[in-house]
Amino acid sequence: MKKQRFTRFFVKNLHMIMLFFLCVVILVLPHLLRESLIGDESYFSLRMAKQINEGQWYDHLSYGGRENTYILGWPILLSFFGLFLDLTFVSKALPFVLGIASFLLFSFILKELRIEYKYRLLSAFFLIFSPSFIYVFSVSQAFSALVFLSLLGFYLFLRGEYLFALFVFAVFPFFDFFAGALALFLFSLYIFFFNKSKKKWLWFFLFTFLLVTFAYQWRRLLFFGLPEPLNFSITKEYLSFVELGSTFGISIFGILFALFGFVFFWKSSKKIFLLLLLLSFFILGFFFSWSLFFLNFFLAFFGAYGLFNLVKMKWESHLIKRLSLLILIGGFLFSTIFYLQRLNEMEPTPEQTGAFLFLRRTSDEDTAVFSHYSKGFWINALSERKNIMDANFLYAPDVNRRYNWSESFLHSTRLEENEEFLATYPFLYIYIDDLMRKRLWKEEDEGLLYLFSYSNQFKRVYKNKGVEIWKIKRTEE
Amino acid sequence: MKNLLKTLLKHKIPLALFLVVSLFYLFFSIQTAQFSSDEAYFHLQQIENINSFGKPLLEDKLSYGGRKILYPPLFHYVLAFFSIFLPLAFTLKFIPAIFIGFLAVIAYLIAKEISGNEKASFFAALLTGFLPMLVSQILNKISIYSLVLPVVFYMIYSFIKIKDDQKYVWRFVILSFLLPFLHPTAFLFVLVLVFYVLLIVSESISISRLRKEVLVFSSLLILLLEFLFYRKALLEHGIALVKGGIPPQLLPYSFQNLDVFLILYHLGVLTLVLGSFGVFSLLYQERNKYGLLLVSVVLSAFLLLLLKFIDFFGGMLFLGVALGILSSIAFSKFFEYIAITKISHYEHYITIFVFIFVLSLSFIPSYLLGEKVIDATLSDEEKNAFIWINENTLENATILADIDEGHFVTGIAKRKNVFDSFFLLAPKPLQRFEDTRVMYLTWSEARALSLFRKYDINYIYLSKQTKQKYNFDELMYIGNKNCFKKVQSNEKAEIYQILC
Repeated sequence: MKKQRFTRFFVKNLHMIMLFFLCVVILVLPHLLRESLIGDESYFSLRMAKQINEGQWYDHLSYGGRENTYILGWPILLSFFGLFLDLTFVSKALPFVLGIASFLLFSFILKELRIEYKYRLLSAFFLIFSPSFIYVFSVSQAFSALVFLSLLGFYLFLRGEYLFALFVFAVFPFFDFFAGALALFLFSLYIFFFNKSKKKWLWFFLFTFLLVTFAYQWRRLLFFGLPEPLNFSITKEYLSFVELGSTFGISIFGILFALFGFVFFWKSSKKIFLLLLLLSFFILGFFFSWSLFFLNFFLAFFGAYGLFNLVKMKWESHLIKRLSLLILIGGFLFSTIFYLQRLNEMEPTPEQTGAFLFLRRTSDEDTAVFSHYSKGFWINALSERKNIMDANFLYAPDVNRRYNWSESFLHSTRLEENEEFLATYPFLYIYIDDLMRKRLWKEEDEGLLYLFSYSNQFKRVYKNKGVEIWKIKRTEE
Repeated sequence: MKNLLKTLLKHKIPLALFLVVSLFYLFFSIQTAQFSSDEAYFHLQQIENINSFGKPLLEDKLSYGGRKILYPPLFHYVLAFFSIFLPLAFTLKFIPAIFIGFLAVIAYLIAKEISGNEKASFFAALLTGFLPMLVSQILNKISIYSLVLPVVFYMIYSFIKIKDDQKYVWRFVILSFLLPFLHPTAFLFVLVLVFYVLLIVSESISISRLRKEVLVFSSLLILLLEFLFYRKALLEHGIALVKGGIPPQLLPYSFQNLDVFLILYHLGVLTLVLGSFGVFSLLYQERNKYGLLLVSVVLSAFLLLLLKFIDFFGGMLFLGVALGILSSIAFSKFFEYIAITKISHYEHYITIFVFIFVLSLSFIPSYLLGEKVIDATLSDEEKNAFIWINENTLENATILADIDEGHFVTGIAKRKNVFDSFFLLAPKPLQRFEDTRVMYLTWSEARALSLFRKYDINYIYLSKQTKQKYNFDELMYIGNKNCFKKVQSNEKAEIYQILC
């Protein structure tokens, strides 16, 4: 009897099961293609998780040493599993597991919303091939958990498990306040438009979310006050297409499918909810690139709706229909394939990792290393050395002064102009790579590069392809 | 034979247009053995490479001292194909002239479709064929636009004719496939189609299902092929790729600000005035779904020019040809008006008058412009200087020449240049641009020598044109005979060897 039920389930959901395995393959591919973790945040989380397991609270490496004022939800989660498994493995495996779970939750949610099987199937297909989905569940970062928790909370709510859902939403502030707020906003849109009877739960959710946020943040506010406002702007990636070089984003062909889907959907039922939703995402996308991780699920559904209706639509020319669909699907799949290839080439490259490991091998433990702030997490995690700056600006000591002095040091050709900087931050090594050369300097003998070429104060101690480490001669040496 | 003659007589207007326009271009082209732009020598190199090795140059060891080339190869293959039957030099002068002749015929056919008036279409095609911008940009320059424009406008013609004949569907589809292999401006065509959809939706005009399908298919196909072809360049430059990878600081070199006088100068008064009338008439008076397609070309080109997303000359060419065709609406309205007035008996005389008027405002200025283009062609003295470099310098020598002469260095002298005007995937073009300025204008010998060392420059090519451009008579650091030796000199060019 049990066997029969299983066979029936298997036959009924054969396509979904196949997609599940495809999802497993796609999410495991980035880790098969490369050895190291992807991005810099994953290394920060890894280091923090290690520190938590070692019982250390004060951060000795970031900014040469600073109070631990970070949001630690994700590192704590890593450290918990790190008690039983290797932390690097956990950093790869946890996002992967959450990705698989999110895939399943997405399908269950669509089922709960009584979306037809064919749309569910196609939505799942669009989801697993979308670059944002691959990115968020390949890189060890808080958003892997946030996306999963949002889906879980919503699913529990749909199933009538309100208290469990409340608990899930309450955990959001431990990962990211703004992303949690966005998830709640989406949730409130749903309640407002489709489930007004459950409005009271929305107030509970909001109250709990704010309460937990306050409870979690009060220590920071009480002990450290408000953070120093930044006097500089940092280059951010906005709502963008992966085909145009964005680290993560939408695929052009994916958005085309979604656009078709939206037009078809709008024709059949003009839901103001959808317009509001897409408009919100569009606006949010300009401020928070991560909003794409959430938008992605809606795009997957509209993509499915678009594809199905394009197939169903009566075309004058069958050949043109087939060719058009082939181009759309081909373009969408090509984007994903090329994106997977790009994930493999993302930073840190083996050359960069080699350079950071070189520093760990050859320098003293309390040595500080100077580089652009975008390399700071790797200096801490891979070299296990102090940095002058990294991308964690909030509550960082002297953040504006460090930034201004670093900029001046990177772009000045006169060492005397930076005496104060060199005296205040006694770093011994300078790390540079090709990306820095491309982004920071227009010319090959500009600023610090000029000094490297013409000043005897600097000596190159490491070079591998475009990655270089320079040692600075201090007067006391 | 009789049938052929009959067909020719039946199509005497397109035939006359084809012959007049082609011969005009050919007449000027064959007056000189050289080509009238340095870019022509880039195309020449590509075609020669196809003739020798069966494929275009993907790794140019001479340009920028060695760099990758990413350029759609179809134009080069087409010319290489014709050069199998004709001598290469003749092919490169003859075939582009033929293409422009076809453009005039296509302009006539489209104009006839949108205005329904043969006479008006003839004048519009005449205006298009003798567009000053076409003459200045295409005449004797192996310009890729000589093929891109006929292809794009034939696609528009095919789109109009889809309803009448199924064969036009396939012509449109095939050309949609070929266009991305021809020129990056294929994306402009997608924008044209988007504008067209917006216009017909806003005007509540319905188009047939087949047209809609072809439109969607063509846009998708172009998008996919452009994405595949430019994948790596897109990752590097992002959306700025549509600007040809030109660094922002170098944009004024290719992208100019739009002003009315500039447009008037490049398009001619008549084209601009009558074409604009056509746009106005189609947007506010008539509900002509085919005409709106041309209006979409005008709007897309104008928008891209305004946002500086397309190089000035390319954008103006599309704008000019579309306005030229749209002038048929104005001509048609004029003749319709004449027909209902009392002077309708003198229609023949009026037609002759209009013909003379159009000729005097299009053919004559274009003729004068043609002479100017030929006058500005690389002179024998300049060419001899490059030939001297080719014959008297080491094969791996690097020559300093200005940006407009970069392709002459690689194409004629067959030596490495410091930089040229093909910026896509070029190594640090902005830095090279600024360094070249310094090398020409600095008074410091040490500064110049350090830059010469940086780029391994062995010779300086200094033309009269470069002196005029940078406003100097002589390089200021050239006095040191131990370091600089004048090795070649004629009226138009000097060559200095760097000895230290």
